[in-house]
Formats: sequence, structure tokens, C-alpha cells
Amino acid sequence: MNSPRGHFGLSRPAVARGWSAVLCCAVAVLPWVTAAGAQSDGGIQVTVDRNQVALGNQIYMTVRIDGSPDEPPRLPELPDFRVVSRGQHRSTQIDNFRVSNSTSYNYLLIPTRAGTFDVGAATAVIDGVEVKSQPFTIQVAAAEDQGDERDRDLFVTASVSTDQPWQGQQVIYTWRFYSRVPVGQGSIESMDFGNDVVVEDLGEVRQFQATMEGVQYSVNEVRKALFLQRSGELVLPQTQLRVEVQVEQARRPTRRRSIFDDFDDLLGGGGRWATKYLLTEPLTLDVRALPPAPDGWNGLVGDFDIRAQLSRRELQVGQSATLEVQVGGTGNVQLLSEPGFPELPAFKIYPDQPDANIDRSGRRLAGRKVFRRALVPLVAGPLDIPPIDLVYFDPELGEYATRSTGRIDLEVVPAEGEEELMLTESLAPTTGKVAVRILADDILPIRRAAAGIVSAAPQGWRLWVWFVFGVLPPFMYLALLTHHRRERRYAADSTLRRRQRALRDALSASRKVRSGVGPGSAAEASGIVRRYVGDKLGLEGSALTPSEAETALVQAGVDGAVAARCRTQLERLEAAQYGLAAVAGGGGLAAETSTEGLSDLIRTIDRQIRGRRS
Amino acid sequence: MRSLALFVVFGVAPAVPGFAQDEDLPVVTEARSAAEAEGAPEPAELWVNGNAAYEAGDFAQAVALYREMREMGVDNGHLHYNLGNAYLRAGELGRAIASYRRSLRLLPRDEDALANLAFARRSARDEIAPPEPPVLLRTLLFWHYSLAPVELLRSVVVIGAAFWIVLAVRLYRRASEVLRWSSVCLLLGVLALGGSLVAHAAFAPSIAVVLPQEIDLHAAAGEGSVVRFRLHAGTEVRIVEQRPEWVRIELPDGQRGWSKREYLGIVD
Repeated sequence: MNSPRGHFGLSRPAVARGWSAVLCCAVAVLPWVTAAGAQSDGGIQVTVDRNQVALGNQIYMTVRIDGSPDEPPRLPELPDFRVVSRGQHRSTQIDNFRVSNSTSYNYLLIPTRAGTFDVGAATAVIDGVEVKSQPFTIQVAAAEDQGDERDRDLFVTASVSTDQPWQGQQVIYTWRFYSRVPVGQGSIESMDFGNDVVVEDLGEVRQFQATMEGVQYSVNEVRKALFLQRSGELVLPQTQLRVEVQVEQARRPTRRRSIFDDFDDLLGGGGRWATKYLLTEPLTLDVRALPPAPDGWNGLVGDFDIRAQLSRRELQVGQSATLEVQVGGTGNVQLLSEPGFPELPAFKIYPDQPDANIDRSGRRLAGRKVFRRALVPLVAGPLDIPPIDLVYFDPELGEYATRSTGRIDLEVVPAEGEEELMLTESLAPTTGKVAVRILADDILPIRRAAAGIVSAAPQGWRLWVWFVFGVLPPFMYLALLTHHRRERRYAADSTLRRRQRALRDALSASRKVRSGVGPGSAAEASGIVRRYVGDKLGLEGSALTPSEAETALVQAGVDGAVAARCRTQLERLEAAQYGLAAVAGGGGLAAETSTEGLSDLIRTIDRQIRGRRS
Repeated sequence: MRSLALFVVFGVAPAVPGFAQDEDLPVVTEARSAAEAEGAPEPAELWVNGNAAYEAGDFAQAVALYREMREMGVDNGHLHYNLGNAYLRAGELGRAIASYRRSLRLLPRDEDALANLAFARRSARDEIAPPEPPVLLRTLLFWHYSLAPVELLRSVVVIGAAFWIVLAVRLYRRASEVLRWSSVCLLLGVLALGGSLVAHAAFAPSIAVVLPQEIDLHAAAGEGSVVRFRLHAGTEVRIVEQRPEWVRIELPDGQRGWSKREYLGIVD
């Protein structure tokens, strides 16, 4: 089947492909063409939506720059307008294959006073070339000159309580916003009174309805207390409000209102929202200087009073009563300070923290401060507290005034016991708790116990007790240790034990021997000598013959004569033991069996053995 | 409290003779006998009269009587405490602080002496922190700072005796782990307390308290030397060097100066 033919004898798909290619090329080339077109044009144009306006309304101004400016335009000096930037937008046009673009900068001009004002040329720099717009004129009419002034939907006012205040006097500044159309969010963008004015807010924004010449308005009111710090002319600058306003759209007269329009209104869609700026008139005040101040004035300007009361009028010496002095009123209550308390030499005085209460919720700034003193009388008798003065400047009278408390009398009786300082009776205003304060401090009393006459360090015999108690235990331990080790050695080596104890055992046994010439005594004496020799030399002593004993002793290093004496004595004892008294020699036997004789022989042998070993 | 815990652990304090001073009346009798033999007023009489003078407001007389007790050899924390009170009432701030410090060396846990010392220090004019050991050191070596030297001595003796006894028992019961660890603990206790005792005796810092209302601190030991700075009554400083007539002190910031010895109350 043949495909349909288009222009120039090409088939339709071919034509479509051709247009697609052209379109792609056009899209690709477009930015370059645009740039070229922008470079070729250049100019600046300033337009306003109107050039005649009343105070309280605003003018929309647009600065349109053809081409691509290097930077935002420089606006002419506009000292009689507040200028608010509303953003910018770019646009591109294609006309006869010529592409051009432009940038529009939008501004809002809010006139600050009536008159005819020349708006000079705005300038911009395009590709390094400065271009200028044409000047024009704007006429601003005063609000009251407008015939429909009372028909305005929105307006703001500002007023002060007095335009000839005294320096430091409280001036109430009232700012009101009247509206009779739906408004959205609004904000006060400038309410700055400068450094010469101290500002205190008076409550939140108040809202109420007001009727002005038969027209009902919804009013938002802001109140501030101003305290002017210098004398002379003082201008309170304008206050600017920015608010969103619903603007009803123009309807086509031919179209009937439908049921959907009612729903639209109900849901808030019945119009568009526009931003509106409203300015108040500047206010000029003539601030009067204060006359020369008397003594005791501490800066208070307004209407003040002072009161004093004592918590108890009858008390004892040493007891406390609270003197409460209240100072308050309306005016510059921030300067409320302690009044001059009189000298009270008959009292101990303990100050307390003051309580302050400033009320900002009313129509004027008011406040009160309470100063307390705990008074403790030092003497008995009738006492009094003199009046306390408060000096302030009364702006109504235009002169300084003095208020005083009355004299307070009290009766003080002698104390029943020693002086007893009591805590202050001041109560914290919020908690109701008694504020405990340390009124005074002192050292703790002296000691009286007998410990004061005893030296801390041990003295006399106690020192010796401690010394012995400290030194003795280690020596006792060493002795015990030595004994313990010896016992262990003896337990491990019986020969050693016999050798070490040979002398002691032999001497001990010799003291018990029955001295004489009988067989019994000879047997005992012979046994003692032979056991000694055996124990000392590690032999079986009871089995030793006299000759073996002599030989063993000689081998152990005992002198031969001593060994022979031992042998001879043993032989004689053996002879006596078996009834051979004649052989034994009779007469000397008694001496040899005596304790002294045995001890002498044994000690002699022992010395010889120990001498040899050492 | 720490020392009490220490004693409870070892269970020996009540058994030590002379440990509880307040009931140690025989010593009072001895002192009285010695005084009677010399015809001088006895310490107990001075004590009572000094307290009475203090109560009557005659603080100078109270100071004189308390000092007479000191010259008789009576030395305890209670006497120094009363002496400090009398000095403070008499307006001698420096001597009062020195007396309270001496009291605390003998009764380191005495809360009354601590409170009165703090009270007296508030009257000192110079803003100089009194020389005190660091808190960490006082915590770690709590026994050293909470026990008086005499208490340390007695503790060393008692715990040492217990240590030797445990060692002796171990000779015959060598397998006992309880005895073994007990001996180790007791040995550590003896070493700690003994070391503390040695530190008290040999290395205790000497503190001086300024006695006159104002004194000059010289750059060198001599009246003609440059006056480096001045101190006021009640200021406590550390002594770094002592000569017969001059004492060199050091402030917490390291500044040093020489003062005449008579202007300082030295707390040894």
C-alpha cells in the first residue's frame, strides 16, 4: 500500500521526520538566539500603577529592564516614601524570530506625608553601559482631604495621653488598627521610639468593636507606657503595619451568582489576598524639664504613696518585730527604691530582701515594693519609729510632693531570760514559707571537762607501759621462734638431742644419786657416767666397758689422763657393784659416788669434748 | 569515724590503757600531787579558774591561766581549744587561729575546733587560702589526717602486738590461711600507721600564723631588706626555713618572704 504524500512530494512519515528535525534544531539554537537578542536590546522603564494617591495607601512600582542587567537597578532617592521590595521576575518574548528577554523588579511605595514628589531616574548597567529611566511625579493627598476618608476599609492611628509631658512622666502611647474587611495575618514592622524613650508594654493586644460616625470597625489596640528621658522636642516616629487583606474579585455583571459562590465565600475562597502597608502619623511631644530636685528625691515621677506597719507593738527585749514599709503608685515604678530609714539606735536591725510587684496589665504602669526590717529592741521602755518620707514629682501639680508614714509607737518590756534573737518573720510572697536567715554567728563555747588538764601524750609510768608493750612482743616472738626451731631439730635428730642434753641429764641424775660405798650407789654412779659418755658420743652408753669408754673418749679428743681417770673410776664402781670392795679400793669410793665427784668428772669430760669441737 | 572503724576492725582500742583520756583521772591526781609539792597552783585549779575568768568576760586572765597550764607541761587539744576561744574573745586573731590549729593537731576530728577555726578565719583580712593538703591525699591517707599522733602511736603498738601474737600462733598452726592473711593485714596496718607516725614526727609541715595586725615580709632576713609584701593578722602560711630570729614563709602562689619570728605563731 502506498503511503500518503505530503508537501514537496515527500511521504508523510518523511515530512514528520523533517519537522521533528527542524524543531530539535530550533530548541537547540534557541538559547543562543535568546542571548543574542538580549544583547542587541537595552533599556530601563519605570512604571507605577497610579501617580495620585492618599496617605495610607500605597503605590506599586515596577522597574523593567530589557536585556540582562549586571546588577539590580539603583532607585532614585525617595525620602518621602517607604520602599518595600516585592521580588523580581524574568520574561522572554519571541517576535518575528527575534528573541528578547527582560527583568522586572517590583516595589511598593508607601507615602509618609502628603505633597507632590518628583521621582528621579532609576539607573541600571547593561553590558557595561549605564541606562536611565524617565523621571515622573507622584501626588500624595492628605487622608482628611479625601472625601471617602471615612469609607476607608483599613487605617491605623496613634495617639499619646499628653503631648506636653514632664521628663520621666509616664506617657501612654495608644496604637489602633481599624478594619471592616476580612484581614489575615498582620505584624507591626516598626515601633521603635529611639534611645531617649524607655518603653514598657501594657498588656497584650486588645480587640474590640468600635463605631465611628455610624460605621462599625474591628479594632486592635496596642498600649505602651513611655518614659521620656530628656527634655525638649521629641518626635515619636511612624509605626508601620503589614497586613494581609482580602480583596474581592470583580465579577462579571452578566453572570448570575450561583450556589457555589456562597460555598466559596464560606470557605474563604471568595477573593484574593493582598499585602497592605499602613503607617501612622509621626507624633511630636514637647517634653518639659523637671524643676530642681529637693533632697531625698530618687527619680520618681508619678503618683506614689508610702505606708509602714509593725508586726507587733508589745514585745520583750531581744524579741524581734518586722517593720514593713510599702512604697507604690503609678509612674516610673522601675525606680522604686528603698526609702531613707531613720536611725534607730535602740534596735538591732536585720534587713530582708524586698518584694517587688509591677502591674503591666492595666491601662497604666503601676507597681509596689515592700521593704522589711527585723527590729530587735535592745532596751526596755516606750520606743517609737519616726516617720519615713517619700519624695516624688507629681506631674499633675507640676511640683515635688512628699508623703510620710505615721510615727509608730511600741512598748518594750525587759526580757525574762537571756537575750534571745529570733528569726525574722518575713514571709516569701509566693510560697508562704518562712525565710530562714542566719542573723548572727559566734564561736562555740569552751570546754569544762577534766580532759583539759590531762596531757594527750602518755607520761610517767604509762609511757613505760607503752614502751614495754611495744618492744616486748617481738623479743618474745624471737625467743619462741628459737625454742620452736630447736625442738624441731631435736625431733628430727635424736642423737643431737642426746648430745645436747647429755650434760644436763647427767648432772641432774648425779644430784639424785645416793652417796655411799654400797653396790646400789656404785651401780647408779656407773650408769650415770656411762650414759653420759654414750649420749655425748652417740653410742649405747649402758653397754660400754671401762676400756671402750676410755677409747671412745680419747677418739673424741679428750685428754688421755682424763679418759684414764674415767676408765679407772668406772672399773672401781663396777668392782664395788659386784662386792669387790677391796679391789675397788674402799676408802675413795664414797667420794667418787658423791654428787660432787660425779659432777666433777662429767664436767671435766664435757669441757674437754666442747673444747675439742670448738 | 574512720579511726573508730579502724579500731573496731582490730578490736583493741578499749583494752589499751590511757586511750580514753576523759576518764583518765589518775593522771590528774599525779599532776595535783606534783604541784602541791612545789606550792604552785595545780592544773585542775588553773583550769577551773581559767574557765571562770572566761565566763566572766575576763579573757586576758583566762589566757594567762591557760598559758600557765601550758608552762606546767599540760598539753592537750581541749586546753588549746579554750585558749583559742580566749584569744579570739580578747581580739588576738592570729593567736586564736594558731591555738585552734594546735588543738586540731591533737584532736583532728574535733568538730567544735573546726567550726571555731572556720569562724576565726572569716575574720582574717588577707584572701589567702590556708595551707591544707589536697583532698585526694586526705582521702587516700585518711588515717594520717584523722588520727592524732598519740592515737597513731597507740594503734601501732596494739596492732604490732597483735601482729607478733599472730606470728607466734602461726609457728604451731602453719596451715591456717586465716592466720596467714591476718598477719599480712596486721603487717600492712603497722606499716601504714607507723609510716604515718614517722611522717608526723619528721615531715609534718610547719605552719605559721601572723600575729600582729600587719607585718612586713622582707626579701632577706634583715630589717633593712626590701619589703616584698605585707600580711595581716590571722593569715596562715607555710614555713620553709627557720633561723633563730627570722622565719621564711611561703604563700600558696609561691611568693616567699622573711618575717621576724616574734610576729608569727608557729604551729609545730
